[in-house]
Amino acid sequence: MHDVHVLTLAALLYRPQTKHTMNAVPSRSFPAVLVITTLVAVTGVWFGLQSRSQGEVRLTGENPTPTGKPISHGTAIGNTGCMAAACHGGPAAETLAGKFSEHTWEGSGTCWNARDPHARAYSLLTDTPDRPVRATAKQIMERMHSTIPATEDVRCLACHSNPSLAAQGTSDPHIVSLRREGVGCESCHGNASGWLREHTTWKSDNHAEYASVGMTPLFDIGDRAMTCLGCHVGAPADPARGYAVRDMNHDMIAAGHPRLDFDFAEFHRELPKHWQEMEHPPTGAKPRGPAFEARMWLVGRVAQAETACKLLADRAERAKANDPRTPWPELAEFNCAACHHDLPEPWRSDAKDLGTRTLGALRWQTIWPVTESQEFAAIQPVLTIMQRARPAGFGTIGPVAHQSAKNLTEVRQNLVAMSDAEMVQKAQVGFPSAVSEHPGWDTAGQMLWGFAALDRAHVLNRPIAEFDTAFDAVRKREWATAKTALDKLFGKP
Amino acid sequence: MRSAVVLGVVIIGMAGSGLFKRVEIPLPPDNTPLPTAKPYGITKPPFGVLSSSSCAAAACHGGGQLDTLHSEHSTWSATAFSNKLHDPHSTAYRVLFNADSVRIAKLMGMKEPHKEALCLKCHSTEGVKPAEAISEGVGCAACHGPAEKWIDIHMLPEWKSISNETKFTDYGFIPGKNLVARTLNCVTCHVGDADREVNHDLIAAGHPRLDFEYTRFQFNPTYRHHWDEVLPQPDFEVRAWTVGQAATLRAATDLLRVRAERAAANDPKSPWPEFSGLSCYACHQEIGNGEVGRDAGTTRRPLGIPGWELWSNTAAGVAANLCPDAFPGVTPPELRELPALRKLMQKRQPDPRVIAHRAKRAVAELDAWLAALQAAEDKTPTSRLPAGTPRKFAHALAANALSADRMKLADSDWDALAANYLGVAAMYHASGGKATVPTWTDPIRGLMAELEFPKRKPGERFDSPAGFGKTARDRVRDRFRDLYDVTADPGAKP
Repeated sequence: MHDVHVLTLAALLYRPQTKHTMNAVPSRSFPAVLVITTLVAVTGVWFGLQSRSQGEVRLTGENPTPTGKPISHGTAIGNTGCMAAACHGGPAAETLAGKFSEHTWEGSGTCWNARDPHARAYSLLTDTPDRPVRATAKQIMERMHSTIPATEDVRCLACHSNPSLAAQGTSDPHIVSLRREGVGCESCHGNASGWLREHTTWKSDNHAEYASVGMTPLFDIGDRAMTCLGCHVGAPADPARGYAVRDMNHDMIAAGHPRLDFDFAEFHRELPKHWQEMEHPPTGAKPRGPAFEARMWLVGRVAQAETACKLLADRAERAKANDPRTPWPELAEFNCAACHHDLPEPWRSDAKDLGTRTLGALRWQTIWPVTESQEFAAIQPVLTIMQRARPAGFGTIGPVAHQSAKNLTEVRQNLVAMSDAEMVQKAQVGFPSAVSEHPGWDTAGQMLWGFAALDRAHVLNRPIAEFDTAFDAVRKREWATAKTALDKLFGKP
Repeated sequence: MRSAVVLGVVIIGMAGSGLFKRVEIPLPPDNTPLPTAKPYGITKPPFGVLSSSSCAAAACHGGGQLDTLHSEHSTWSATAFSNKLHDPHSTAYRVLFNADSVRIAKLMGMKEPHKEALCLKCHSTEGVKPAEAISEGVGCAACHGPAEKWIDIHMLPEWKSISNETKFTDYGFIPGKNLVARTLNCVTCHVGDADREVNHDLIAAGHPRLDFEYTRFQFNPTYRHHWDEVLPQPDFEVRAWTVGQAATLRAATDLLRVRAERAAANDPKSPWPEFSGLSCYACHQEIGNGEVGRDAGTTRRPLGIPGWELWSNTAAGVAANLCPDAFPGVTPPELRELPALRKLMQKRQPDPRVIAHRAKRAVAELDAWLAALQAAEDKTPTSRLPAGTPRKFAHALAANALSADRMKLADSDWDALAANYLGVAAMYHASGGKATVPTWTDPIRGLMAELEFPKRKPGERFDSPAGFGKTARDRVRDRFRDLYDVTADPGAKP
């Protein structure tokens, strides 16, 4: 906008002389021209200096201007496009009772409408949330000094409704109406305009066919995890799909937004299923094997680390580009309890708790076991540059985090592909080594989730009493008891 | 020509209307001339440091009695008697041998704290000869100055005729009778300076935070004084509190300058921003369980950014505004740079070069204020302060803690509340305490109960106000409102 102004003024200045020749500048108006040129130059220079000021955070309600580029992955149709009684809006009594079959798909929409918490997502941005909240969206936006409500802010809409709708403004009532569906069908399955008719004739799960028309492949649990994690941890903008950036950062948490404390396997377990969970090998669909829960958990943790690295790289790049909505350093990159703890004395564990971190270096986020075990070499470069007294600047962090994310993608894909026996062995051997000497809140909680998932897969035989003891001790923050119980759970001597 | 003028007006109008610029926090220009007055006592006298034992001759200051003239060293020392009450400075070196110190050293990667320069700079008398005299702790020379030039003349009659300033600049004697010279010396260790600092790494290793407030330390019941104050109460405490505020803030601001300069030079040992200059408990509190405490106050800092030095800034404004009441003839100082510095420190990554420059300017302003206070201290007061002076200070501090309409706190941060509380407590004691101002007792006791850190089992303690949520802050607000009422001017018309 400022460039246009300067140019317009310059154009106004350059008017052809009517009375005099082009060569002779009338002496009468020369001082005036000089003054104005100086003014324009000074304004331009001053303005240029303003743009380059570093490190200034301006929390505004201003949404970024959409690029206007066309998106290749289809436009959103809305839940109504899925919910016809003969399509996915059929009876769902069996599914809701927990009985799955080849008819489950007929009632997926009905089941989702009835029970899925994602349906509530948009309402949480309004003054009438569908469930009780500790901090209302209005309070959060007030604390952020926002001039617009949450229902109009791209930062909120990107996760609380279909991410492809977030940056499309509020003037179109159809878009606003689509957002009210919350995180609807297309938020996970991909915008349907490219495949709505076609997918009624597909019989197989052709990965290439899905990808070419914009239907998100969810049968691969790695891809499924990455889809969930896009909102439940965060993700860079995806211009091809028209997705705005999804970044819930420390400023929003400070304003009152709950922190994102996600475990793929646990959240997945709690989600009312509107599908029949099946394997899809080339030989034909069959029910999932007994080790499925363990694989879900392990793949989920690796995918979470991968997503975290991608988000870190994206934050670094946005900070480098001086994006006013990207604070830097981003405090949500670090473990909450690294700063947010009372100071009971003695509270500091001894030097063992520091591990390789220097004193005063903050612990980067806990993604157990990936960040806590040397087995996952891919994440180590990120830990090295982040867990220092002076973490690396955004210029350095970006490439390192990108590379780690790439390596973790490979780890994830291998985990999805490997045999049950190999995957279970990884779980049984790897985890005891990652049991921390000094579990904090995040570490202990995540270890318990891991234990619960592995127990569901029947790959760890431990008495349930130890689980209850550990869980209670973690809840009460009695770390000595928790440590003993966790050691017993994971078979440490 | 006319259209050129119109164009010019349009440009100026657009620039003036702010169409071009982003919304900026206006800062005062950083190149206006600064006051040049400086107090004496901020430089280190370049003279030889003598050990405490050289003062402790039986006929000089080691007379073997308690609390009498010529037995100052015997009163001060922890080992002269088996008396339990002594001056804690005398055990400063010994604490380096205890378990806490050993653990701190281990976490810092050091071997023996009693041999580390980092520790000895504050825990012993720097530069003392012979070197073994570091075991005396923070000895005589640390507070009274290096004695090389004055040991042989300070008992002669002509010593009394030398001015305090000359005693310092020519002889290296720190005149403790001058509160400004005294406190400027205290803060070199108790806040820090270019050679000494307790930063967040050291605190993370286990060192207590340096939360210095002069009157609280002066009147600590475990601190046995080896002197009598010349100035009587309440004048002494009112002046001591005021001077303490100025000196502590000056040291904190100069320490910020030092840290910023090191960061600007990319010193790898100097983290930036340095956490120990920020409000500790803004981060160090458990979150998620209770109500948000921040909403209890009207001060709004950018999200996720703790305030800079709230401990030393919050009540300093009251000290500045009311210093004519403590020091008749002194005018309130112009402190324009400090608000600018506070705003700059609210950026997420403040530019250390900018901070260093501004902090230097802020220190110059504070030095001019301290110089004025020091000159007033050097003059023997011709009259006592009016009887209601402590009440006036206490009332101003209670108002400082509250918002303009007194319905909320001004700043809900614990450091800010504690600074106001300590000032009020000083004025309470200056007024004579329970005997003279009984109506103040309950609110002050209530404040103390809310602000103090929770108790734990014996042998353990909390170093942060655990559980200090919105409910507790509302009670603090109520106590300050009570104090505002009981300290109101009784003679003023309603």
